[in-house]
Amino acid sequence: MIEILARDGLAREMKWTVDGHSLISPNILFLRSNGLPHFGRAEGFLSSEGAVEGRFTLSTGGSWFLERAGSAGAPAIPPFPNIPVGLEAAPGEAYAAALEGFRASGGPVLPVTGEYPPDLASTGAELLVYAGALEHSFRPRRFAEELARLKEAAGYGRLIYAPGLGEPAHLAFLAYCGIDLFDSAPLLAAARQGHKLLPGWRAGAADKGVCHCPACEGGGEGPEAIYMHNCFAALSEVRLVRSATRGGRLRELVENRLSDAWLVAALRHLDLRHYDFCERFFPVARPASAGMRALGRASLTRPEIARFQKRVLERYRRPPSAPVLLLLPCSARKPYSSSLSHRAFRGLIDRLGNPGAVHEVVVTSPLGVVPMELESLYPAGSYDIPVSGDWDETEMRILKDQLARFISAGRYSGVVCHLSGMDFLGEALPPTAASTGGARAASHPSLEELGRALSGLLEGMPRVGRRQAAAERLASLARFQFGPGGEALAEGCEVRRRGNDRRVTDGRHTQLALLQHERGLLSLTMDGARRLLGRTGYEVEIGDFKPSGTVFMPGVLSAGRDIRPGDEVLVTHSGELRGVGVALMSRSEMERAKRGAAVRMRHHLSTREGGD
Amino acid sequence: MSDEGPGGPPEEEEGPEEADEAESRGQTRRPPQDPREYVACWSERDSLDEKEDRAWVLILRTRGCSWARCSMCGYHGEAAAASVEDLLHQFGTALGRQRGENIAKVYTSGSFLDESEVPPELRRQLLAELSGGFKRVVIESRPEYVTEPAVREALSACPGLEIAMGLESASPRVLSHSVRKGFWFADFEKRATLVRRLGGRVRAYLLLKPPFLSEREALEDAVASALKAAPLCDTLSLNPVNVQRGTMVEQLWRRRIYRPPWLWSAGEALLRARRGILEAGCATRLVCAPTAAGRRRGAHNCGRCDLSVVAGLESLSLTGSTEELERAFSRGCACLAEWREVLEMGAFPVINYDALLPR
Repeated sequence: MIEILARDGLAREMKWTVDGHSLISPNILFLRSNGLPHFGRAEGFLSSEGAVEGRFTLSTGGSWFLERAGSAGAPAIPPFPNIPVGLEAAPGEAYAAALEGFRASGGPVLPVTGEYPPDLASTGAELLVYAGALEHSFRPRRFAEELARLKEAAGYGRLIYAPGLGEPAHLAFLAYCGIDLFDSAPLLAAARQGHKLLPGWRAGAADKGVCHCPACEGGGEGPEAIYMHNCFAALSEVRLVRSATRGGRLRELVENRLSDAWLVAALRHLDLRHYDFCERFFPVARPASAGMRALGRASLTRPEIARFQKRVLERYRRPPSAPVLLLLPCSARKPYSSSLSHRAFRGLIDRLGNPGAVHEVVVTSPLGVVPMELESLYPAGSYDIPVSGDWDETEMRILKDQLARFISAGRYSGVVCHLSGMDFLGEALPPTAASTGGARAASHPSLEELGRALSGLLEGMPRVGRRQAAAERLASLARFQFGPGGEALAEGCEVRRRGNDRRVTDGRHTQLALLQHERGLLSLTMDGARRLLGRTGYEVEIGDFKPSGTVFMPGVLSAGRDIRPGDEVLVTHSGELRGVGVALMSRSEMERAKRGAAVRMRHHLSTREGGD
Repeated sequence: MSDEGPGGPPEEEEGPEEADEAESRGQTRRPPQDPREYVACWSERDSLDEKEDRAWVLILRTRGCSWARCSMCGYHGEAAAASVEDLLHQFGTALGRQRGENIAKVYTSGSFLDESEVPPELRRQLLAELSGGFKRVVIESRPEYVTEPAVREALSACPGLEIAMGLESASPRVLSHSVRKGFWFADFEKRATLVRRLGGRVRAYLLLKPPFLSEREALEDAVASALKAAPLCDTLSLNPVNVQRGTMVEQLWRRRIYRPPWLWSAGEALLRARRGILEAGCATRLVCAPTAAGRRRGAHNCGRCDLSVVAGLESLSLTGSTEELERAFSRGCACLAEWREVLEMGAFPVINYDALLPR
């Protein structure tokens, strides 16, 4: 039985229970065989000699070629011909033989060598042994390709074991790829070559006294002692990986561990060439404690960042009454509007008398452009970047491209660029744009210059009412969150600000939504949801029951195309709104999972509707 | 961008010096093949009736093996459409290199008994000539050509002829899925029995480590196959797989998921097989002369101990004595522990441990 305890992108923390023994993944199966050193601290074993007393054990040892069964003890990997696809004597025979062995074993383990027929998901296997993993890993591009194929075929609800993979430095990345189980073979091979493995470091004979794990404290420099060290290092790392997965910070850990060329290349292939495959598993909101750290080149292609950029260009529409674009720098403090500099900008704009006509947009790396209405949205609401004033080529290209397309889509009547130190953006700006940032955007002379430029552009423009301006901005935000249909939420609405939060009503006394900076997304009331009914890709169709608390998987009939973990969703049955809640899994997963919590309900039909 | 995987260094580009197979036969291959030139001819140490001797070896260039589908065999690259006249020319040239050896081994890169490679007239003529000049003659053929008429005829031209067949393994799954041999143990058994009934001698070749098998599976399969084949054979020759051009094995090797067997494994297999054969009361001779031994494409150890193990294999092959081979094991080497670990990892066939180690 498999229970998903936590998700972060493709990675999961799962509890796998077979015959009363449980294993939490991601984890390492430590080799257990008479002639190999025994790592007693292991949580799980891969054993050639039956179950290890009291510990989770996966059995192996059978040989398909020699027609010899493995040691007793369930679950076991059924013997199968480990022949790469395309090298079989007849096409498909390795998979057919593996399937036959799987059925004969009656167990939950199915080995696959790289061929994934459509019926793979329906086999009922709980663990797929991805036998091609090691070879595929030799080439990062191939690895990313094969991984996407495998995950697509395997679905989200089963474990994947990659034999031969699992050195500490690679664990975070491999778990991030959605691989759940590893083994200690690479730890043994490294030890044989005298490599003491640390996450991000291969220590050789010259690195003496660098580790204080029990194995190293015990002394000994032979292959066996090094293997023991490697086991400790891998176990610590895999525990850290689980913790990062729970905390929604796995990508941060992955980027932290980019210590060899293979890792960098493989992550890049995944980001750049398999974005569509990966992106849909990444949450749209994260707790502030999991604020994004975008520290280097690898962060630039992070799926959540790419998605934000894409949605700004594809979904977003500027407030119609704000034709004057004001480009502003980002601030260390989030939300931007709470920072000193932004309060100064805002004060100035207010004093000019027509703030509703000015569209404030922050230009920031690596997100690109962040319209002020979206400032609370993840990742804009909580990200950290190194601000040294240096820009690398890729960063500059992304910013320029994003900005030029944004300006062109917005059809602004005037543009003021109040940025400093970002002259490279010049070619993305229209020739008539005013640049007022100077050396320091928040300095007095710069602000005065900004005031002059803005008042020139605002001259003669009709004054935009406060309530209208707020409603338009809310419409832009709702559209960004829910797609074009989201604008219906904002019709005739009123927005009240309380601290960093905003309360949305219909202008009388009915609350429609609440925007809490903490969450970054609009939380709907039943009344708000009713306005969106049938208009968005964020509806979860359930069976004919009254949801309360949590909607579990068998109850979901279909899921809207745009749903990502963390999204606000409408729960419906035959066109009737049954409730509102937060999606706990992506659409792809809802469509295929057989168990697990799908939506955490916020409001449902029978509760008193209203405040959050 | 580096292609270095978690398993080791990037795939090496192969240099021009990699013609191990051809080089070991004393010549370099140059396509296209000339039908008037034999593939190779050399003289080697061998034994006859338990006494040390020398063998004159000739590989004739014929149109090639009619099967040519085995995963480890690259000999089909040596084929050329040779006429009877061409073959006579090859034979004649090669005879000139004979230096009084008592044993003749005349092979084609296929089956000597396949009439489309060596026409029956010529076959008779060559065998008769060899019979006159050597005490022992060995030819090689796939079992399907080892028919009663062919064997009768061959034995009448050359009494005492030894017919070698590449059995490779006695395991059906190894034969069909790994070697892709195209026949079964039963086919070999039938033809071997026939040869002996008609008064000929039988030699069988066995493979050590055909593709997809772990070192341990390979070792166990070789020993089991040897014990099963021994009662049917006069000579058993263990051939550690070497990486030949244009083969599936070469593909796997380039993909870094195949490593030729350790010489330790060849030694161990020979010692175990010999013990088993003696226990079974067989008089079958065991020989092993690894092609490209000690090289990256051939059976190899760490590079320091390779020669001593090869010497042990040779001594066992020539004299039947295990002493030198056993001494190599007891003298040991730093890599012996690694090899033992590799065998131990064979308990986990799902992990390709070879792919995790440097080659």
